Amino acid sequence: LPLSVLQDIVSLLDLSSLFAAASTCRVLKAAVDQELPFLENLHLEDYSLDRATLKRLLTSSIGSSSSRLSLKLRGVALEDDMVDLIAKPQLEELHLEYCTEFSPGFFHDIGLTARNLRRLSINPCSDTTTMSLASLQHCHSLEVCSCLFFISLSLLFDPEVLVFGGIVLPSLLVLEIGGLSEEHGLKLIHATASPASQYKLQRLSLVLYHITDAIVQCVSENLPMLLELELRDEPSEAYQNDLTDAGIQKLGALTRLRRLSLVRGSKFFFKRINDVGVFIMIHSLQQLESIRLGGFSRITDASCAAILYSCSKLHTFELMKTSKLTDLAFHNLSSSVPRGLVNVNLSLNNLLSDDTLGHFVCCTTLEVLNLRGCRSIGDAGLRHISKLCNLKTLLLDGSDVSDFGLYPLAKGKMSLISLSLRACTRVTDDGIVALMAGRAAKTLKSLDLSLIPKLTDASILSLVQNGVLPAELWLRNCYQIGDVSVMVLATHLAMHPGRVLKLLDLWNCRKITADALRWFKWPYFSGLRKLGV
Amino acid sequence: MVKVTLKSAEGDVFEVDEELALESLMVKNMIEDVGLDSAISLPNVSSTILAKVIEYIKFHMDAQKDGSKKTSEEIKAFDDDFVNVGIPTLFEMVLASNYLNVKSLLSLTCNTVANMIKTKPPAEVKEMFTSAKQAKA
Repeated sequence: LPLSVLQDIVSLLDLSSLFAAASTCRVLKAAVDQELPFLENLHLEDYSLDRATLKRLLTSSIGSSSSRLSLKLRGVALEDDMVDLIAKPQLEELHLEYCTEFSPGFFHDIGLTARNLRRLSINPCSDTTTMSLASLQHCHSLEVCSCLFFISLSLLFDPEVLVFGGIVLPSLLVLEIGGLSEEHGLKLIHATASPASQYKLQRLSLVLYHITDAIVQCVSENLPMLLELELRDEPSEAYQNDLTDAGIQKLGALTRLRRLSLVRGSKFFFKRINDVGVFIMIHSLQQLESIRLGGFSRITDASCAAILYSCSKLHTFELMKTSKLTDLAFHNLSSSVPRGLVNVNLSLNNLLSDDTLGHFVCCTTLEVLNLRGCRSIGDAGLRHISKLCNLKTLLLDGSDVSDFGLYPLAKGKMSLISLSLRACTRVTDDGIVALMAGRAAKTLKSLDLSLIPKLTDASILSLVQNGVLPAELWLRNCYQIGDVSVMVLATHLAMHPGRVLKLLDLWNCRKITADALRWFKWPYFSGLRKLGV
Repeated sequence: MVKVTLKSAEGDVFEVDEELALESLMVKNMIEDVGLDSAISLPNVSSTILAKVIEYIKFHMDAQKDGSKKTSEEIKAFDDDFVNVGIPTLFEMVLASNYLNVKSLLSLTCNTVANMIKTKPPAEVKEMFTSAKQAKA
């Protein structure tokens, strides 16, 4: 075929097929080379390329690119020679994960040369990186800045370095910063609230050591136009200035807020907040579309009902890790429920039982249901769930479900995309076989069957026989899974070249022997990216 | 209805409606240059392929006409069936649609080849291209 036609063809390929095509013959490689400058996405986080290849690739794509480019890299040492390749005016989006050895001038060059950079994310962020972040002040069009995982922040607030001038730019719409102490958080918010950017910032996401009244008050006073607010903390010890009712009420001032997330991640709870604070806050936040509260030990059914009743536009409702929430919270759901509820997350609420799910049957729009660690949810609950015909994601980790619950689920009309039965210890092969034969499982892309001790190779066989092959499969800690499963998966994949298993987790499957390793050679498991053993 | 005469590489003559022939930008240009009187010779396209291209254009023109009862599923089924041919034929069709400049057919066939590359391991892709080369020689 002539080169012009080949170029038409390769322009239709995705990145991994491009690489595959380039490795076949000289003609195709030439066509791919010509295509590289036209790429708009260069997402290399899933590939392990050697330095020379990466450099060549960057030279021929970014260097001569005519269009805007989004670049994602993982685990690359960004030394001087790389900087010249990356810092180009065409760069619009830059994601760096686990990148090391930043050359001192990296951000300086990025700031000066990549003038059109609009989205930047660096995770995790080390000390040396932090120091040079100040040079970002030249990126006048930066809209999104995300550094959620700081290793150390000591330099970020050093008055001499004064990085804020760099991070907080007038053009910023989204700011995500992690690992902040209270003092640092306050400084950051004040810096953000400069007259130029105060009314522009739409989304603020902070990970703190402690969420306190002062932080919340500072946000609500300085950033009144915020649309999305996410605060998260993971305290390692109890803290005397913890968030109180008085503090949470202050959030009511953010009347434009559409999305609110307030989560405590560690084993501690927000102990000084009870229903009154939530009532007053929610009274002025009736425009909320998404709410996520986690780690509130003292709020009760009344708060939950109040949220559902007041916020009629809610599509995402998440209430995690509360110790007092019971079925009564959802008792009047059918009359008060927001019409468009799509995503419900009630994980780690031990008192919720099957009756709660009975109340949710009326939410026909529901697509995501997360019941992780709800230990009292059992088979009767699954019978209710099987009536939700739009459900796509169902997470039942650690619930009390058995085979008898899976039978009605198999007959359900929904097409599940993601299902997790992790640590549902009462499930056996019978349930899985029935589920795979049913309609609900046909579209599965991600399946987690970890920690089900009774699971054997028969389940994996039923998966393959029914043509269910998710792209991600977790079988961690399934002691009965053996070599047969690996063989069945390998041969099935070899026979259906269109299907790819990207992730297979076999960690601690004790029956798998060294014999199974031969199935991991070419041509089996050709698309596998991650393997846990 | 005005007819246009097309002559394939083997010298076979195809008589088609002008409207149909104009779908090929290359033929359209030729008609503008030399007029309708003489046969338009297409030395790069074999009879079998030319017949297929005409079949394709005809089907899609019929499908676009008002009052056509063809559903989008039927059209898709036709397209899928149309490109479900051996790799040498497919490549010849790519070449022909490129030469004749029929945009819709070119994108259909290119898409098919792209999908083949996507779903096959590199060794098979290589084989695919070498076999096509041999068939041509």
